[in-house]
Amino acid sequence: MRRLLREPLLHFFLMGTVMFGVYGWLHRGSMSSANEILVTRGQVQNLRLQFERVWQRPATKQELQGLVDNWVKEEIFYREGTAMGLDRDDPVVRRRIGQKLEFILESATPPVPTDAELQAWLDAHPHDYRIEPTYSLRQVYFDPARHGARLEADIAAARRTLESGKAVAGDVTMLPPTMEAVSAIEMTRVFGNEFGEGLRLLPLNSWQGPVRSGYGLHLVELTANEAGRHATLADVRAQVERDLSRARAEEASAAFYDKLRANYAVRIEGDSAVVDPAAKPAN
Amino acid sequence: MSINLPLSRVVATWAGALCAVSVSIAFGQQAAQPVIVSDIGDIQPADATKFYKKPGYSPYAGKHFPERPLFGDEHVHTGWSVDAGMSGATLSPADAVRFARGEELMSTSGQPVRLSRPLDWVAVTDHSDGMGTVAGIREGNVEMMHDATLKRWHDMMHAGPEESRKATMELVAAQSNKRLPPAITDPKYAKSYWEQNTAIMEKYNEPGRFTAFIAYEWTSNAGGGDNLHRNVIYRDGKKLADQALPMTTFQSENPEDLWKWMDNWEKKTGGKLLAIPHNGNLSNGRMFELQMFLGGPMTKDWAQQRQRWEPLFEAIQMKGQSESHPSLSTTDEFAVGYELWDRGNLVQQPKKPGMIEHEYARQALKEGLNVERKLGANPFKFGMAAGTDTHNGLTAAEEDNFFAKFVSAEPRPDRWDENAMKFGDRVVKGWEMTAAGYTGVWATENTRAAIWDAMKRRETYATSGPRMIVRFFGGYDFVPFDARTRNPAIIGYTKGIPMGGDLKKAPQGKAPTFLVAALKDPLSGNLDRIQVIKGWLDRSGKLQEKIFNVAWGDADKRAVGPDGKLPPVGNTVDLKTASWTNTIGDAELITVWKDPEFDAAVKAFYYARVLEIPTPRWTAYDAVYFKVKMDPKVPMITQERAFTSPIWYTP
Repeated sequence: MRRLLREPLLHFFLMGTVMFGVYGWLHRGSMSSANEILVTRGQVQNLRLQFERVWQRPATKQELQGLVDNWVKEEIFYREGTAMGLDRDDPVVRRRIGQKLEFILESATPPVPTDAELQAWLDAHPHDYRIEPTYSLRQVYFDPARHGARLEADIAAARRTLESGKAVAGDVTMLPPTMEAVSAIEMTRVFGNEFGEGLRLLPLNSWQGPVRSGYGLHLVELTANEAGRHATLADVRAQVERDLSRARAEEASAAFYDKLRANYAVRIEGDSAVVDPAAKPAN
Repeated sequence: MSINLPLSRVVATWAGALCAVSVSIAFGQQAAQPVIVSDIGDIQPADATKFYKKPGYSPYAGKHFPERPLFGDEHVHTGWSVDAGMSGATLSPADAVRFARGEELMSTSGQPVRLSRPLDWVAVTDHSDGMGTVAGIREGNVEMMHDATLKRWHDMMHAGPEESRKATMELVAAQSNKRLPPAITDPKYAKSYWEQNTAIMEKYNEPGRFTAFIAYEWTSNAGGGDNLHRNVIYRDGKKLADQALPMTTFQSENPEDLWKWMDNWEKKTGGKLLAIPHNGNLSNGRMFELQMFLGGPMTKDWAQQRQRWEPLFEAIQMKGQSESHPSLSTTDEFAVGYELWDRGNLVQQPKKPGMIEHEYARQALKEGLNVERKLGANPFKFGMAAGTDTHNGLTAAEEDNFFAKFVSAEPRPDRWDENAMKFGDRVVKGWEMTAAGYTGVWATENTRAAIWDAMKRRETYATSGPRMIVRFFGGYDFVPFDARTRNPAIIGYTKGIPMGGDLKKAPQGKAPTFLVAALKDPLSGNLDRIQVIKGWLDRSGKLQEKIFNVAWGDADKRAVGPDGKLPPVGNTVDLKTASWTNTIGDAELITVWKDPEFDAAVKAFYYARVLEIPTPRWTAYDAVYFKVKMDPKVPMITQERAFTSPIWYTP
């Protein structure tokens, strides 16, 4: 409880409440009573600005009148509706208000992480920031449907020809015969997942395979490759900052909920299948 | 050496464990390629001469045309959309982008989920209605301006980037020193949802690797449920996008007003926008009605506006397909029973006779020719797009990985039999949901500008989910030998124009020829066939269509009959295991096709449709995974497909 009292957000809320009270007291003359609707100059100006923000031009006199009339109608319906309790137990309203609170929490700009913090995050999540290996290769394609029972023999023969330094056309395909410095993920996009996996252990500058793809089989000659590696902060600073900020916002949001939750005792009636996981003995 | 091709795909695990793609980060691909600048009118497709000059020895030197289609979803909702949030979705726009980029997430219903492989781009299109424009500092809320500090920050934020940055830094400093003006914690002073959204997209947009578009959906339900929705896609970044709030239907339900809003925005910011309408099938005759929104006859100006602002149409998504309807395309056996949501509008008010004629892309493309004859402008000159319209933040359009439209329909044993929509006694059942789709974009690089430009020139195609590669070029000089190429793009761009383009008037005695090619998705089914679908306005003023089978798998065993029909490719689906084998069909198809019935005097369009061999529909994967027996009327097998943007011939 003591920690909660030190919670800055709580302070903000309390101050907000106090400010609102003070404001109301100071402006008590202009506060509208139950059956009076006062459209303040500020409100009119807001409607005017909202219109401008959408339409990029000022509202005409007639349009502004329409906006105000509509606002008044909405206000009356809103007041009557809330008086009837229509806002209670309405899933849309409940969710909306909750979402708004969450949204405000999330949009509070968190402090910019220091380099040390960024580095620590990167060190803790090296796999999220791996620089992909890249490959350059030549490939010769074999469509199993076109070779049938001769497939293995045809591939073996083609391989011998290639090893003797002569070219082999393979089956006609739209798949690229050569690829230069292409990342593993791009390789996967073109040939499918298995092919990308199949490349990993191939030696350089010799015809290997057959390697499977989503299309059939390939003899492959890797002409260059660059191993994948863990990124340095300089490589991925923007991404690390984005991800760390996101993680912090999630933590803050969860912590805020925990604190609020601790203020409530929840009882769930009559259904043993449902329990309150946060229930603690009252202290 | 034992070769046993893994052609049959095992039952997928819902956890997405199929995916062996490691998500990591690739760098240094940010090619500084100049963007094709074009005027804001009808942008002509990429001119071959811009891409490819005189052929040198190396066929690959100087290649600057699009080499690989970039796949993405132009229609994604998150918990920030009011209806999605209401239905329980908690994933945010950031989550949606992370998912599209290939990261594993926990779905709202608590199930781990991941795509089989990353997409290349995504447009998160939360509804602008009720997005909650909480007035902020930037917006200059008048009440807030009573606070001197806030007033000063507001002024700084409008005094250029440098001042704006300073204001932000002051704000950050004030925050960390706990010296923020108390008023700022008032919800009214928070940043608007829109600015938060654009900030997220800016963070996740990585040119060269993954494009996160700034976008929103304008959700006009005319008459309370006639679906006239449009996704608005920004070519530019946050700086321009923040200069105006999205258009909502509180301002207007009339698409003409949306175009006006877009026009104002472009004039003010110098940026560019386009809109993609969707679900003509749920518009009760209004998506492609032959009059203006308020009822007057179409004008030339109206037709030009529509063509200018709406270069694409979303032809398939989770709420069914709007490409073709069997009652309109009576010879199209592949439209029969294929993902039809044709009983009502968005709230399932029943259709009346005459409505379906104005809901489907193919019919609209035909009507467009007629309108052009009368008015001199074609309002329905659009290309093909596809998206999911997911409302749980998960663009999971794969049959074996279908996370459905709403949280309530995420994988569960009973989802097939529950109501996907219910309005009184008018019901759409869960099994009717469609696991679709994605848009393939022939962009020159993976950036907002390049993908947007390709969309604008309609160099796109729609798929029902798989990522097959489809090339479609039109010209007058393609010859059968061209189909023997290993790279149809080189010949295609050199001798013709790509999908989305216009054929010039036919030279004397020549008929249009088309180079069309398709390469299967490495993870999906083989290809059954390629069709060219032709629509035209005949000499008597009647609209016609015809489907030509132009290339097909197992060509040694199948031939087109005298009626133009090709026998079915067969079926290898095993429903007991929800699997199939790629032992029928072909991995790739390519051909040159010449229109045998060409009449140089009549307006026409041509587009390609590519069909895969039969594979299990998502319902089949559900039946196996959850061990449920579904009603015999539930389709368990599908033929995935792609349809390209048309190529038009205008004499």
